[in-house]
Amino acid sequence: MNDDTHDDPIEALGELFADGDPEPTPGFVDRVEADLRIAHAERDRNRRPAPAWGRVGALASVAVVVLAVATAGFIWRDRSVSSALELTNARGVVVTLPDGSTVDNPADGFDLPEGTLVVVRTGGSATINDVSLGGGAVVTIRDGALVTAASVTTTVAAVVSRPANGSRQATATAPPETVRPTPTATTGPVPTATAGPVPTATAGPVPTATAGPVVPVEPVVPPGGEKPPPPPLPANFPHPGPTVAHDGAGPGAPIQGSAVDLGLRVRVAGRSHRVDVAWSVGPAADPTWQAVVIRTSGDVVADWPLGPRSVLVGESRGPGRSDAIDEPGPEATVVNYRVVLLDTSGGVVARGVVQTVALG
Amino acid sequence: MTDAAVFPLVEPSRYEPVPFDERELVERARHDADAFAELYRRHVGAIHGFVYRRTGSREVAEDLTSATFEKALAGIDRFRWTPGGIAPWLFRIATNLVTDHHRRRGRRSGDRARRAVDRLHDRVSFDTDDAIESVLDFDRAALVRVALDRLNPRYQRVLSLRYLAGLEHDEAARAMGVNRSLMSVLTHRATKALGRELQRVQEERP
Repeated sequence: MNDDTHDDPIEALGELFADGDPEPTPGFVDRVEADLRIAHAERDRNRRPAPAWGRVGALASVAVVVLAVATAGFIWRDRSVSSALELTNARGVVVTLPDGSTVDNPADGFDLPEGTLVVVRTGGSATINDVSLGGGAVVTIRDGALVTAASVTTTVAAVVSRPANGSRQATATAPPETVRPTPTATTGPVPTATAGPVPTATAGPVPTATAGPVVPVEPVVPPGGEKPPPPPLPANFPHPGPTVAHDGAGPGAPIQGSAVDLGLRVRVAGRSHRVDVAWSVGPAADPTWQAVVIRTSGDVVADWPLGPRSVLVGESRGPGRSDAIDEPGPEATVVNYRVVLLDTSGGVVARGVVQTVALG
Repeated sequence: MTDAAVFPLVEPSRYEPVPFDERELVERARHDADAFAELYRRHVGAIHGFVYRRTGSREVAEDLTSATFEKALAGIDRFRWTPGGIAPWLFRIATNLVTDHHRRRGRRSGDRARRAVDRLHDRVSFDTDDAIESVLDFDRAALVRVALDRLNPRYQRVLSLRYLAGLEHDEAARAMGVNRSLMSVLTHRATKALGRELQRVQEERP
């Protein structure tokens, strides 16, 4: 082998070391380092998106702050009326007394005792002492004062569709929204609450004698059969979005906790009076929390605590999906369903939207 | 060719020992730009020299060195510490980039280098022994690169990591992602293949 060849190929690789390693061009190392520092900073920025739970938490925090501010803005405590609160000019008004009884459109001069819930339906109006309430207002009497909460979800009228198979499915026509029941005003002209859709009583649990720890209730099971497993929910399963979380302390109380999704789907099978009820509780819910599905008939608002003409249709614990079959009875023509999430003490954590279906 | 140019390769050794604090530096470099810059400073010379030996081009060496550390930054969260430190991982990135570089250019790169050597032979006047030696050294290095570039990419990586980066057998195996036994087999086959290519390149010389 001549001078240009090698018996050992590995030795040949030594040729690549023959002239040594050249130094990089001046400034190369510094330039690359600067580029790397920039890239490092960009990399840190790009890989720091808030994790899913962080985003939810951030959104919940924003929602809580906004609602807390709104609630604070609309809480009105007029001590001047604490001595005696009278309802007058009631039109389209439902008053729920502390004992759970309800009175529609009470006569002028109706006394409002502590713990009374007053709901003014759409188009209705009422006056409590010198405060006028417009449609959509929801107020309670607490500590002798008129307390309104901004975080009220509206009743969503259901659209009953009739698919080809004859079944009817109620779907929410609008997402829940917050209404402004009563503006803040302690002096000046008597404020009038803004008109809006009929609200449900969501200002918090009405303090009644029946309020207390939740007793688990077995869901209605179809006769002669076991409760079927929950079917997969369709893509259009109504999810009202994050439901305003309450601490269960009642209306006007500081809002705490995180947003919890409550979904509800009700479907009438054929011409029967059997209603398939499926509900879901979002993953943000605590495993100990109990979801209850309440059914009312007519224009009675479905809410917790259970009032007159209210029936507990089903219950579940923690996040997940559940279902039940409800049989409202042949006399029922219009029924309403709602999911309410309760904590271990029976306090309301969150409320879903009301779904209404027509039967028969 | 002098023996001095050959012996370092017969018994390859680490280009430098792993600094005792490198593991901690690597951990910090995942989120600390200063730490990553320190790592870069420690290894940029070795990586640059390695790439230059493989490519014979200062310009390409700088491009690929820069790319090596950019890739290292992008992937440092996935780096798992091994006893050999971070160097084998960096050399693996670099040798992959070199292989890709040659693959992109195709075998024409080797042919181009050979033509460049031929042109150099034609132009240089051999006035002095030093000049002749210089040209011959360049010639030999270029021919070795031609032969090396003609190997399949895996063999290129084996020989580069083992003999041009100076990694120990185990480190090179880790950098290749193979076990010791397979590394031995690959090294043996790559060496044989390099020998055949060197012979072929010699025969192709004008």
